[in-house]
Amino acid sequence: MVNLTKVFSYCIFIQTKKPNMEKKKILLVDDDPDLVSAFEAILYSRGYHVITANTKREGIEKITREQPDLAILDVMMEEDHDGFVMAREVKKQYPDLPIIMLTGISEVTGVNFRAAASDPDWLPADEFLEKPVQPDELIDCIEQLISKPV
Amino acid sequence: MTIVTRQQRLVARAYWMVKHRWLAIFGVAAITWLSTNLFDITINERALYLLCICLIIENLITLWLIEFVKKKYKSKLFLPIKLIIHFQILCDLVILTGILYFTGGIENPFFLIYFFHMVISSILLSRTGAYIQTTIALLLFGLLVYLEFRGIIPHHSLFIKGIPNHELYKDLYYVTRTFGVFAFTSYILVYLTTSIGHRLRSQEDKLTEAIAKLRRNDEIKNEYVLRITHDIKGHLAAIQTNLSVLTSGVFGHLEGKQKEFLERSYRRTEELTKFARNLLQLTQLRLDNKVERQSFSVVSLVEKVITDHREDAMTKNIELSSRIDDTISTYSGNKTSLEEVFQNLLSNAIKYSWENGKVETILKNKHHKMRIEVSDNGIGIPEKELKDIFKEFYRASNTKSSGIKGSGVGLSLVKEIIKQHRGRIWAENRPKGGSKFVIELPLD
Repeated sequence: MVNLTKVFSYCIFIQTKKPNMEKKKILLVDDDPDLVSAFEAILYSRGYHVITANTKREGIEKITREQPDLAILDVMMEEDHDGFVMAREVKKQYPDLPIIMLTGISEVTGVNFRAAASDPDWLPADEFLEKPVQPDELIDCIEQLISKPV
Repeated sequence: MTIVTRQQRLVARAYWMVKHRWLAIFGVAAITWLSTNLFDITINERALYLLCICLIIENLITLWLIEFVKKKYKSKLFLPIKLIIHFQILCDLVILTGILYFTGGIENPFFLIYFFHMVISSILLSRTGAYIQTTIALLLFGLLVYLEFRGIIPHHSLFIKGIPNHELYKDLYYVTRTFGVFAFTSYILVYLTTSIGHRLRSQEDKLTEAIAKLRRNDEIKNEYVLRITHDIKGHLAAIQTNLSVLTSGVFGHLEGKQKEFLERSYRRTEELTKFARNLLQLTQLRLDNKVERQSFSVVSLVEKVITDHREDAMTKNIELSSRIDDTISTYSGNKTSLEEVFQNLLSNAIKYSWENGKVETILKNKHHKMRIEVSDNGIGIPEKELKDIFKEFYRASNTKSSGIKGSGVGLSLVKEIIKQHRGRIWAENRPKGGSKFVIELPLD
């Protein structure tokens, strides 16, 4: 099913692709396959190249191998705050990689982030978006972060 | 309601005794002064003032001891505070016996003051402790009476001009009868007060235990609701995002009935997500029971929320106005939670307003309190239900007939957030129709 979506999305992408447009690579890490395929479809339709991972380990591996331009991480994966831990590890190695963190409501207040962080004043993500995320909201956020001068 | 532990109650009682002893010292000094200066009663005033100083020293030592054990033992205060109470009562008994010695001994009816200490020890100390203190009181007083009777120590009679001195302290019949009745009454008194005190204490303990159990059960319930709602919201987020992929036209534009039904599903999912979100936040707040505070500009926050709602208001042609007192520079609270409060109030005001209505937000500084009012000229709230609308899942009777959808969780969440910020919220109806929500938050 995921593959079919990919194929279909590619077709749309080819249709909507502008000439000479640089294809940005986005890594999407979430353990919910239905969410992943939905985000994948949205991102493909907007001309992004999408790599996906379901676990923290797989995500870190793909960052090393694929060198994405931006990463979208879910805070809660197999274990609470997996995404948060991953973001911290990634930011240590790749401080310039923009990270968008997808959160549930309990994380929005910021309380849990600060409790989980070793330094309470430092948050490892550039943006936090609360689920469910509107497609336009996600795209706006990505565009802002990718176009941001490093 | 906060549960006061036995230990906290005992500490409070120790302070209570100190406070009342100050009054007693003042009383003894005043009576001494009045007796010698106004009533011509011959007493050894110097000795009495000296005993007052002893009481002052006792009180100061006690205060120091309480503070000392509070710092040293922190959570294990029960026994040390009990010992301090024993110390206080013991000192009081000795000094009281001294005062009685200089004011007529057994001839002075104020020896009944011993009863106060017996009652206090019956309430605050254990049964044995109370009997020990009573026995000490009787031994001290008995010794005084005996030594005066046998002439071993001089008797200080309360000599009042014009009234014959009967020298009752030498009268064996009077002394034995009075002391005997006093001792008998004392033990009966202690027996009665300890029995009642014991029963009350055990009832109180059972009640405290029951409250703690209820709280724990409530916590378990909240954790359960939190887990379930969190899971439901996860699924809802996936459904909503998938639906939004379809409605956004990524896979081609939808037409007619397909579009209509899909959009309807999307809207209902959106409502359900909002409900789950509110319920989740409400439960989380109840479990956390603390506010992560930060300083921020309320003025900007309110202005932002108003801007967020402009589009919604325009669909019903509602006029959004505001009167903001910008002397309130910053407020220390949880910004995310308070934004939730304003979002809820403003979206409700728009939701329950008629077309072409008016929604006004007022922010002002009133006697060190920040007052926020959100008023509309919509459907209003039935007068009897003004308080009920803040209850979980409650929806005012007129909202159901109006056909406007809602879950009844939003205002409970608002109330909980305001409560955690030590503020107040209430609703009133405006004379010309519509309702007004008022929030008061302390500024300091």
